[in-house]
Amino acid sequence: MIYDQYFDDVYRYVLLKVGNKWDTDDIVSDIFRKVFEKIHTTREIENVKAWLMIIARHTVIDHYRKRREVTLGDDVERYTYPVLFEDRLEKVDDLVCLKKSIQRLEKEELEIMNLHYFCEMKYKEIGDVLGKTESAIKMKSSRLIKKITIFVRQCLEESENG
Amino acid sequence: MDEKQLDEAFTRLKQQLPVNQDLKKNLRQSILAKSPQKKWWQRMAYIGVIAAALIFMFMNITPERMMNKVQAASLKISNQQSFVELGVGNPNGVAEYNGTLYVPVAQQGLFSYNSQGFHKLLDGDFEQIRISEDGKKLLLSQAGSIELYNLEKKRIETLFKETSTSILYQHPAWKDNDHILFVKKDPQNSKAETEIFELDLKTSKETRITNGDFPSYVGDGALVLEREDQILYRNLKDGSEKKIDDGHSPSVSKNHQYVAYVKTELAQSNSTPANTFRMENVWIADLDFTSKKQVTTNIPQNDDLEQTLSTNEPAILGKYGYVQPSWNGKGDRLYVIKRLNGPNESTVSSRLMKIDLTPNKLTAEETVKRFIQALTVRDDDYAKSLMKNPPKYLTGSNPRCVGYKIISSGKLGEQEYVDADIYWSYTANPYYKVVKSRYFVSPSENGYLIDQVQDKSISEFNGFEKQTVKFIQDGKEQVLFSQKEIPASLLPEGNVRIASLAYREMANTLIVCLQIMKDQNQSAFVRLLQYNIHDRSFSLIGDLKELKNEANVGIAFASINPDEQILSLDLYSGGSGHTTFYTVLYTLDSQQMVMLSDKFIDTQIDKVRTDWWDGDDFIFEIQSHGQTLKYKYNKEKDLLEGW
Repeated sequence: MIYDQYFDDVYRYVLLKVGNKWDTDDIVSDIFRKVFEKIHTTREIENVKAWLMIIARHTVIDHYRKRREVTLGDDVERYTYPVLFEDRLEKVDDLVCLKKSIQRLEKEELEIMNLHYFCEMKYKEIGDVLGKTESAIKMKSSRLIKKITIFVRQCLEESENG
Repeated sequence: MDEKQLDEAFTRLKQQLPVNQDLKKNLRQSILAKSPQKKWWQRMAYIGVIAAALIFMFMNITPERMMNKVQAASLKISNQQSFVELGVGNPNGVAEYNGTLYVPVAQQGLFSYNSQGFHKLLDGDFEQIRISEDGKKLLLSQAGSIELYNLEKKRIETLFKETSTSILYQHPAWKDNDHILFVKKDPQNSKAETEIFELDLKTSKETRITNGDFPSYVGDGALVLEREDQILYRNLKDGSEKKIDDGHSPSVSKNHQYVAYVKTELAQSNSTPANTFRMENVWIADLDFTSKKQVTTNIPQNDDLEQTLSTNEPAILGKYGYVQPSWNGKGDRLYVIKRLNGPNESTVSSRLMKIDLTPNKLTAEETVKRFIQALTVRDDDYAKSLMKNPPKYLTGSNPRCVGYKIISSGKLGEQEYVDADIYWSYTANPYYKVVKSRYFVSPSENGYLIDQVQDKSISEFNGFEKQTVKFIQDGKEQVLFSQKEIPASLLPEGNVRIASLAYREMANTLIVCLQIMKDQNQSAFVRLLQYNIHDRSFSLIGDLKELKNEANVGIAFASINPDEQILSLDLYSGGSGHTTFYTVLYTLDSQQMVMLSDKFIDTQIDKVRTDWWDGDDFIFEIQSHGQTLKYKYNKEKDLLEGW
């Protein structure tokens, strides 16, 4: 069933994007209500996961749009991914460095990272969600991987050198 | 780091993003139902899936000591809460003194939680905690070492450190302010028994007491301990021992009257009798051996499981495991860590629970109040324990309960009932609902159980479409007003939307929160209007143009107290990319505002929001240090307390 199969992916996607559990619970509830309203009226769904993540993405944007005209300005995407992971004064290791490195990515890179690594989507599916071609996503992912690998390496080296 | 290592690191990172499994379970049921808001009430009457309520057991043993007190078996549960909703951490234990809770959170450190806020005291990964009788010192254990933390001097001292011979020091407990009990364990030698010692903190003299684990001092020269899954009472003067019950992790109440412990029993599956479950539950027993009682409920780990297990497979664990019960100072409240067993993709699998005990049975009205409270905070386990035939799923997410009012109680023939209103609201949308219901109840061991709930009427105010507010009562719909009907003198220039609603039934008026958007001519602000349903007139309550001298004010949520005098408003303000969140109590008559974040001292508050109204007490949540914590504020008394 679509719900059981994708709930965790949708939840993590939203949690990473909005950064807190309260809004995530509300938004995820709205996403699945929309999904079950639409699933009976949508004629053909070529790729269920991509379709679902498009609804998720738009619902998050709607959530921010409500605040946009109040405090945020026009660029809604700019306010997604507020604080990705808490800084918990952990011992510096690869995971801590990965968290720090993620903070340095651009918004579009974060979106691709979220969909690829946390929602386990293929490049073609990510392209469907973001309205880009598979090859464009592949190229951006390759750059993203290089970038983050360098950031993590730098972070580990800095920690080793004190 | 290469690409493969990066993949692997991302997989580990993914596991750190907790999925709300309760929401997943409840939302699934809510979505699959055709009419979710009505269905769960109706289902209550018909669906009985899980065996109801608590099992009470009495055991008569000849008393060794007679005390003038309430027997453990006679204690009733007056309230139960999973009160620390853990956003990103698992608590390992809890110690309480004079209303302050000390909570070690796995891998995050030691925190204190009280009316002044939530503060981090220490870094570390502490596994156990015990507080001294005078409340000045904490005993902590981590990784085979025992540490003593002086709360006044803020100084930590290592009493025992895991040695090169790998002796582990664990489970410290206070005997008095100058003596502690602790356990030595040799993990290298599987045959060696764990040993209980006493340490004189002044002389550092160690004295061996006996074999066993989890010592807990009783006073009067006796202690309670665990040995081979039995809870034993040991007289320190003559070394004699007596079994209290089977179980582990005993903890003696500070008044030395009761012991709480965890006991495992085998239970048979209702749906598939061939399956057995190992159910852990928390029990309490009298230290004079008079009686004992189970105080938690557990259910099979997967209550959908219908496939019969093969005879070779071990019994399945219950859904919950319970660890480290501990008591408050008065001995009328039990804390316990409740862990979710089984495959759990979430990194958050523990909850800190509190169980209030009283000699008195709950009245019918109190039972309904507790039931609504449990629904409101999505504590399905407690809600189900108050029902005769609980359904599988109870609660949803949005809209959510924001308050209730007990209207009356009485009898219909022989059947007792309580009438109550429940108020619902919707985050970031103009919506408010009042559901009037009759709760049929019948007497039970703990007081009452809810047999059935009948909705008497449902009144819904809904402004989802085209800036028009509709009133829907028992399915009949009428348009109350559209935004353009608001008089020009009350409708500001620019882009305006109806953001939130709240209903005052006694005055038959609707509170309308308008969001005025930011544009070239003005900053964003919130205007509060009152709409009189009877004569269809609007009046101005007030404007919220600044919060803490910061313009651009937005509103996310509104609710009103049961007496319909105080609005709770979840607001935010900011600009240039930052947003600050506030929850404000706004008294309608005086227009006086109380900003709840001002009530905390030196507490980092990342976010705050309305939870619900429990009579005059306003319950709200803050996010601090990555944790979600609930607080209670009474405006009349100006009193803030942890909830």
